[in-house]
Amino acid sequence: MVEDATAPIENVAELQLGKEFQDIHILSNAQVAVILQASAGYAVSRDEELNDVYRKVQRYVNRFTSMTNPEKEHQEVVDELDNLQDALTAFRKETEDGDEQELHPAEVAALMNLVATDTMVEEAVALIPSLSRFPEAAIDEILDIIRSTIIRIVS
Amino acid sequence: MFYVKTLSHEIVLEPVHFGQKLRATLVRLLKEQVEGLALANYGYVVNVIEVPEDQIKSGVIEYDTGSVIFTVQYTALLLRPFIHEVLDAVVSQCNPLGFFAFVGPLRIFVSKHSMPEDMFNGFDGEKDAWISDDKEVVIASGSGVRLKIKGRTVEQGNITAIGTIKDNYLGLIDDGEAQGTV
Repeated sequence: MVEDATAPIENVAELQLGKEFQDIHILSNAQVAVILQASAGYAVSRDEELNDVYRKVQRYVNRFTSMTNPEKEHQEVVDELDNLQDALTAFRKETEDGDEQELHPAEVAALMNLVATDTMVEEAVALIPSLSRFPEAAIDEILDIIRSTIIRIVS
Repeated sequence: MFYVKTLSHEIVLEPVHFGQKLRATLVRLLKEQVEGLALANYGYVVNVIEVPEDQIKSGVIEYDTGSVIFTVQYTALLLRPFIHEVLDAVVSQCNPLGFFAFVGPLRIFVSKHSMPEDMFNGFDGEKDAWISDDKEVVIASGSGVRLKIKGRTVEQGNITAIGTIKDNYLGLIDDGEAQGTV
């Protein structure tokens, strides 16, 4: 069943996720890695086999997380990631009208997944078009927050 | 994108399972039936995170079979491709029409029409790879690519997405050599 292009269009670039996805909790790859690790330990302790989909996802998140450091204490990395997510979710910018803009959970997850230490504003906006509603200085601030967390985790 | 949502599922329990371990059996059966499943609208169920005890309501006896139907609510970790989202994926297979890449269990096809101009004719049958005109970019099995989701179909319990690497900042990330087999 192919998605009907004329149906209420889902377009994450404009932060339209579809009506069933309004209140979901979105996770970044790094957070998924943490959940799966905990769940794997639990399953192994009960001698259960991990299913195929599970193992594929675990391989995927372990490969594509820029925010990991095998030499660091696991809990330390988890705390840094939680702090980063809190910082991004709490990020507020006042617009000219006096309204406050904040980051949508989809943007927070995308930022945590895609941004590296050398990502510039132009690239971030190309990858996450909905960020264009923020002024450049604000986006730079956001990237800075992420950059410093990555550096802290990786060093 | 990975997300967490509360879903509900019906489990049919035969009388042989009744007894002290009823709840545990329900949870086990739920996990067996639901984990790994591709739900049409919600995506792949990667993991059942929690089955709140108070969400397992009383079951209804089916008079024909004597089994009991329980409707169980659970929190699940799901993976679903959203249109226009940018994802990193691992290339699995190249063919003359494009290449297949995977995000965990999710298969994404990138056609040669969704590749940059300098890669359009770059399929190398011998190396089984897509190579750019200047030979700088080689996309082969095991490479990591950053792509954007353009569309999605669900067929036979599997979700396939259509992707593109034509836009700026998309395309090859790494050649996968440091990663070992995927």
